[in-house]
Amino acid sequence: MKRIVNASKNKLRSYILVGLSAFIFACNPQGAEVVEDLDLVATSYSKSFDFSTIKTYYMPSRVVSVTDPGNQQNNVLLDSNFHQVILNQVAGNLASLGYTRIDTLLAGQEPDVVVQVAALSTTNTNLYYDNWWDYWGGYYSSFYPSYGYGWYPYPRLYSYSYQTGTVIIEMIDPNTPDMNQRQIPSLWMASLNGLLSGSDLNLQNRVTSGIDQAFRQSPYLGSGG
Amino acid sequence: MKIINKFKLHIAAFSLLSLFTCSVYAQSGYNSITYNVAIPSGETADFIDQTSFRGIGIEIGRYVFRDKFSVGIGGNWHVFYKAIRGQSVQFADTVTLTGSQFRYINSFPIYINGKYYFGRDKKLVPYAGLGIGTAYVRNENNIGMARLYSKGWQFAMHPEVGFRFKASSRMELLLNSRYHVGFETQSVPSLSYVTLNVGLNFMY
Repeated sequence: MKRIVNASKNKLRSYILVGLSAFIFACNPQGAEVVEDLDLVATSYSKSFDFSTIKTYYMPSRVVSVTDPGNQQNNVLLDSNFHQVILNQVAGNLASLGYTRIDTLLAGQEPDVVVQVAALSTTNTNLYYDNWWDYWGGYYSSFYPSYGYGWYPYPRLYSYSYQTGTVIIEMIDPNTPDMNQRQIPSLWMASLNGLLSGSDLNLQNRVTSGIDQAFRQSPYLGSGG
Repeated sequence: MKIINKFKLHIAAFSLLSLFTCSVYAQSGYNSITYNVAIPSGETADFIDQTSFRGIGIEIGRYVFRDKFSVGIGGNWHVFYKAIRGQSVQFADTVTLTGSQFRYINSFPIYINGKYYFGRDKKLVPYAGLGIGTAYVRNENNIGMARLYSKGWQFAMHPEVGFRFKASSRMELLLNSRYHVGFETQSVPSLSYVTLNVGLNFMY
């Protein structure tokens, strides 16, 4: 009898051990602590192009705002003052590479490359149900005993949203278009992505730092000029 | 005749006593739980080179062959984490990403193991063992708001050495070390780390 009781106790202990491990399941500790931790700078380039041949470039005097016509309510237009900050930072980095900016497009004075800057931002909204009652099996309906066990409260619907912004800098070669495909080769592209959160000064600092980083991680650009 | 009967009685009583005596020292099984510290090695250390202090292990087994061996089944969970700021990651030759990186490895080995105990009925019993099984691994690299990950099952095994220290008739303190090796598959890279485990062994 004592052996049967002990075996049952040990089985129970086994189940508790397994359950304890399962309860601690799922762990991705720490992670991003500040908004800057979510900023990302990505660059890509065409290996077949010789960047040392670039001497001149043309850049439009405004940033193209990219919007989603299918989800107008999610579009966030950036402040126009912001556009000039972005263009100035890009121009400064190109100048440090030795590239000369052409302000006006004239026939016979085509630039070697065209640099275009675009910006887009969007609002992301997520909904979720908080199933907090799943931690126990329900409660007994004390007001209406005949209903018995297993009643649950109304589900709570929560929502959260955040805005993200992306700045895209693209360098294209206007001198070798693909007339059949109606495409212009893209030589280099930089994408800056992050949360639209913080003061205007904070956003400005993060964007300008991102632009500098994009050029810093593209050393092949500086082989000409 | 009376002497022979008395002798037989004594033999019978001694045999019966021996049975009870054997059952005091012969344990049929055990449950154990350990806290695990894991130190990455090899290619794993190239991805995350920081020691993990988030690890747990459970095991259930039975003693066989007069408690000289045991056979058991168990599972572990180890979490590796590293934050890297200001570094770039290269992809496919022409793509470069720069952002704060938060790297994770979650490893869930499940195994069958066998152990050999050097000595029995002692206060301190050293042992050696080998576990063979499988492990579910998830590697993650969160860069900015992008996530790069790989996940999947892999064949895994671990040699083990350790000590059992008898704390009471039914409980022992455990201290052991394992070298976990998971083999590369199409889904996940190879995984290797050394664990230092301390815990309790409940016997029945």
